[in-house]
Amino acid sequence: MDTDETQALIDGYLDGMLTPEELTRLNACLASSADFARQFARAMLLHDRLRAVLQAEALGEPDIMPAPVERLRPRRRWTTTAAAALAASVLVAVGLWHGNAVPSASAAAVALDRVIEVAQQQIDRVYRIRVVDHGPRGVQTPVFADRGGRKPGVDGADLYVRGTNCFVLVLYFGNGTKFINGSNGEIGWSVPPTGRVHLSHDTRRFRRQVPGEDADLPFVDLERGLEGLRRDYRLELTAADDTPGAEPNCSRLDAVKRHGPGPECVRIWFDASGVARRIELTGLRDSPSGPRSVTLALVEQRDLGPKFFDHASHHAADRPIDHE
Amino acid sequence: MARLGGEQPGIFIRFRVILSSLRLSTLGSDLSRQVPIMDDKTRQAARAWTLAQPVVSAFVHSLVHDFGDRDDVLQEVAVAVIESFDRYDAARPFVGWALGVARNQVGLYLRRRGRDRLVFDAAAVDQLAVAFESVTNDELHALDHLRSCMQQLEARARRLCELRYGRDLKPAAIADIVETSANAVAKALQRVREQLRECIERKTSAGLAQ
Repeated sequence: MDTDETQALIDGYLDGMLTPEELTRLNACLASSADFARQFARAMLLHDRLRAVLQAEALGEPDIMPAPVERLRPRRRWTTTAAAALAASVLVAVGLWHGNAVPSASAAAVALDRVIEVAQQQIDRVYRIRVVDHGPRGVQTPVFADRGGRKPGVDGADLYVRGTNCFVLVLYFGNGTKFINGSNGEIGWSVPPTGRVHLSHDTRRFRRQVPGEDADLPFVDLERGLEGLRRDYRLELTAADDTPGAEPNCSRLDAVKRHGPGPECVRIWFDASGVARRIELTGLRDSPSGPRSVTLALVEQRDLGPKFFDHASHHAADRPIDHE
Repeated sequence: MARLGGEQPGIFIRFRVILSSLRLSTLGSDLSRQVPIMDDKTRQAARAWTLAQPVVSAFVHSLVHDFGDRDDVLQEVAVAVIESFDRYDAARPFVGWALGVARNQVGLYLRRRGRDRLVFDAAAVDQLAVAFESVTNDELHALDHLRSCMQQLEARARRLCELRYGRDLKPAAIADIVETSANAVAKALQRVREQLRECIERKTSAGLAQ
């Protein structure tokens, strides 16, 4: 049998189109040839992933491969939706353990533990920021280009985070150029589209535009931000949130402020593995004229490479540099 | 995972069993510390399962044709893996062990459903298990290109994919919708998968070359 024939046999099996005789032939091929079995396994992996992707899309999950990320070296690890039946079962089981007797707050705290545990993993995350409520000044005219010293707003910005203190925040001007702030955990840096690159030993120096930062609820440092929720917020869990606008196939953790600074309410939609898929901050008071409500939607998790959080990865080598 | 919280009492009982096997511990006095915390062993199991799941899923899929049945079996495999994790020998590859658990669960599932035999005989399933166990991380990561490759499909090809995989329709049902024959749909799906395979290979090669 040539390759085309064997592939046709496999494809026929995938779509349930084989006759009993062909099925017998397929069985014989599998039993007798390790190479054919490998070919079959690869086809099945694609078939299985195709279904996962299309099912997710049919359920309305966001596309997790946007253009800016796609240019980077693709080395995403398996950690997210496909896995995690275990974590889901633990969370759901906790909810079912004593029926309705389990206080929602207890289940919520368990859920938060899980989200924090996942946040502690050294996996790079990419979030896209959307402003939901622009605040008292309403929707601002987008800053088209790097003129007059105005920076673009956070609406549509991409936030790349690693661990607890590495981040890159990419703000976009209307003409597509970028204003990039970041830190590799040792120095903070700011790369405007033109002119001098600024470096600071204060790693938080250029983090002010990250939502929640001024309220000491840092979502660059997701772990610390989530710990802040446990400390200062009342928690409530909604398993399998199916309300309009909810993140598909996710549970929702509501954190309502009890005391201290920070947004009035934080909502986290997390999937079965405990990965925070969407974080919504409402009642923000980061700045008097800033947005009141924003969402951070997880775009992707993957290894961004060893140098991604260094400033040099985001500007030409001949740019002048200011050390603060 | 919507099925987890579904209306199946058996599933509820199973989760109680899982929970009791988790060796939950209780710490401290304030609310945040009164809740059960997963122990190290369970975390270990969760991590191992997370990594093995794509391969196990595809293996189960190769033995259980129907998408819905596959989902049910995979859920039971996850439960079985956690319940029996104490019996896993850490000196051996986890994927191989999980594939063994999956194989048993497929057999149990088919028996419960009154279908007493696998599609393939034991020799073929053995060979398949070896093939799936040999899948490398690179091969799995290559599939991350799938979404972008799908964006390059023509509208008709994309539509066929949505009907086949998004709505779980077989070629005969798709043929009724797109007004052609089941064979033509099957052939078209074969071509689409071939295109996607080639696209993934191209992107993987390009990534390696960078």
